[in-house]
Amino acid sequence: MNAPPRFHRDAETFLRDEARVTWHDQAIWHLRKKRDTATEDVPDWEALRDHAAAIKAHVLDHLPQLLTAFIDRARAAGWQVHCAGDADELRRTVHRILEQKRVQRVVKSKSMLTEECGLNPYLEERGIDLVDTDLGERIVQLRHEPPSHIVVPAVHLRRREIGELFHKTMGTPAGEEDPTRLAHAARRDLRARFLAAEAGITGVNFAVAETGSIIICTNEGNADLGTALPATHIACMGVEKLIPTLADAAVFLRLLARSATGQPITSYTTHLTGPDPLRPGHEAHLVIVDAGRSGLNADEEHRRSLSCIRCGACLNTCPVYRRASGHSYGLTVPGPIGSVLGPSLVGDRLARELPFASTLCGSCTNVCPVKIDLHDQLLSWRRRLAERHLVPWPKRLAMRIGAWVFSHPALYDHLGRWVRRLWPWITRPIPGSPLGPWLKERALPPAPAASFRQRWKKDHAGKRDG
Amino acid sequence: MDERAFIARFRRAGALRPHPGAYPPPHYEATWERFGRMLAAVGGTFVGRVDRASMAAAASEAIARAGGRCVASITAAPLLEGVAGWSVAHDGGTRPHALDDVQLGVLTAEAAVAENAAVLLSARSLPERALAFLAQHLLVLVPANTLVPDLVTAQSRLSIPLPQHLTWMSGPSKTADIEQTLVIGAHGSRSLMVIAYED
Repeated sequence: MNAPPRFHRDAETFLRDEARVTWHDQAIWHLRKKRDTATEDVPDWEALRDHAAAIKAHVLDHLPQLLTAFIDRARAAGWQVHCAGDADELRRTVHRILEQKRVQRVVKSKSMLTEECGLNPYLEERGIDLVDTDLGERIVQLRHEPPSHIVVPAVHLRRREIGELFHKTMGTPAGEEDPTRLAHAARRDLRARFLAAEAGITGVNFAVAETGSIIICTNEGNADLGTALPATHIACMGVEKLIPTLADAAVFLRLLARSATGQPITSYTTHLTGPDPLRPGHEAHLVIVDAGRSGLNADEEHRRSLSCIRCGACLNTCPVYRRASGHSYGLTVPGPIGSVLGPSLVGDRLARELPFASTLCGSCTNVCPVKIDLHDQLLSWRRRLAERHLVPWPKRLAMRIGAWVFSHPALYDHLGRWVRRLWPWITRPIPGSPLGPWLKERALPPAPAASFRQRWKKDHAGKRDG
Repeated sequence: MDERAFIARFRRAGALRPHPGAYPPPHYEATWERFGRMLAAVGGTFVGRVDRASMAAAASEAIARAGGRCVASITAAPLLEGVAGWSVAHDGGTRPHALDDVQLGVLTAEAAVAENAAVLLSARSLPERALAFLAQHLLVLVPANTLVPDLVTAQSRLSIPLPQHLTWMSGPSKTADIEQTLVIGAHGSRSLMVIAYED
């Protein structure tokens, strides 16, 4: 992450195109509804969530034991295991493997971790021909922009824009906008790249300590082609992907696709255990990455966010994400979970706007399959940012004045009368006033004629008289 | 970085929360009717639960329709006795690239799950792993007595050590990356037909 995210500015830019905002909002909400429908087929949904949360709690407490067991079994299965302390070490480790194998062409399947660690630009600068193969990721790669969603990376784009992009880059007919024909054009283009690639890079959805296996979930089959064809496979995973057993995997697999897209399971759920003994010279590498996770695991208030399985349900339900779009967050993982992970993983100074990019409605917490207390964490980040003086001074001043007024009932009552009287003038956006930007984004209802206390007194008195 | 130092970064003091134990299997009806319904919902076709002769007839029809190279996996070959128009991948998985022009792949699955219409493929049944992903269309033959009700049961029955590759495949490959419009046939198979056969 180079430039600091500017949520406020970028969201405002996105919001200017009202038609696009409405469409984006509805497209994402459609995913949320599909999730709801899918959960109806799971009578044990709530028990499943509880169990998943309990497994993750156990995992976060036992990472050293699980890591040791996993690495031992992975090695026994033939994986070449590498540990990377930070993003830079991940990039250098992957590049070193590619250099040793003299790899020129790489096919990559979706991995939010490598996105977070800036692997693509690093390898491209070093002359590697790297192709993202998830259709959505391929689209944003060709547009030289980051994904805007962790499950559907190109969800911010209209079919016309994708048609124009494919016309320029893949030679589809001008004006072609049909999703099926566009997707099949990409299929043909990428099939040739799968066949030509010397290495495949993938992410990891789950790493099973019991067997030394990794589990990768896709609908497109790109991770399978990317690992079944090239002679070298490099899998990159954050430590939090560890789970104890194959039976535990069932708990998460039953939650993941339903929460993400409303499917009962992804089209392909692949367990890989070391290199393929049938293919001469096949190598399988596993890079396990910390990149801020150990620090987050030591943060009692926020470590639960490491339980995230990257389903995207909290993005899809978030009224702010749906209208601001993922790019406004400026991080690989946007939405509520991104706003919680961001301050830990990229630094609270850089991500300081994000915990405020929420209405705290709690919908994210309600849909989270592993029961991360997202809105509580957003709130606690706000408190911590305030303690660290990372909140802008007008907001700090306003809060201090507010606290003082609210702790003096007589003053509050008196000021209330004046505010109600002057309401039409106060709520009129005056250019340059400190309240200006705040009012621009909020339509305020007219002020009531009387305060609650006045009404209570009146009604109460009336009843007693009657 | 050094592995031991890496692992030590995640050490925790104090009370460590225990594992919650095995998750009880949920209640799904272990019927091929449910499997078929779920498969249709994820874009595949369930031919039905049939005897060996009917399976051969259905496979024969699919092969005739394919209009291109048909390749059976080493475990599917014995089931296609008497059916014409197919070959086996002779290299047994050593040269996956050679399977790129396959129109129809015929595979066997080791198990099926009623909950989510997934079928199990692994190195045991499919050493030619790439066939399942390179073939334009797939026909999967699965013994009728291998149906399990749910994924919890299915996953706990996997025997350890796992084969090098093991995939739960539910429907054909798909994407909704362009305006959330479902497109069947992203990178893997463009259609998937499943037959449950009685042995």
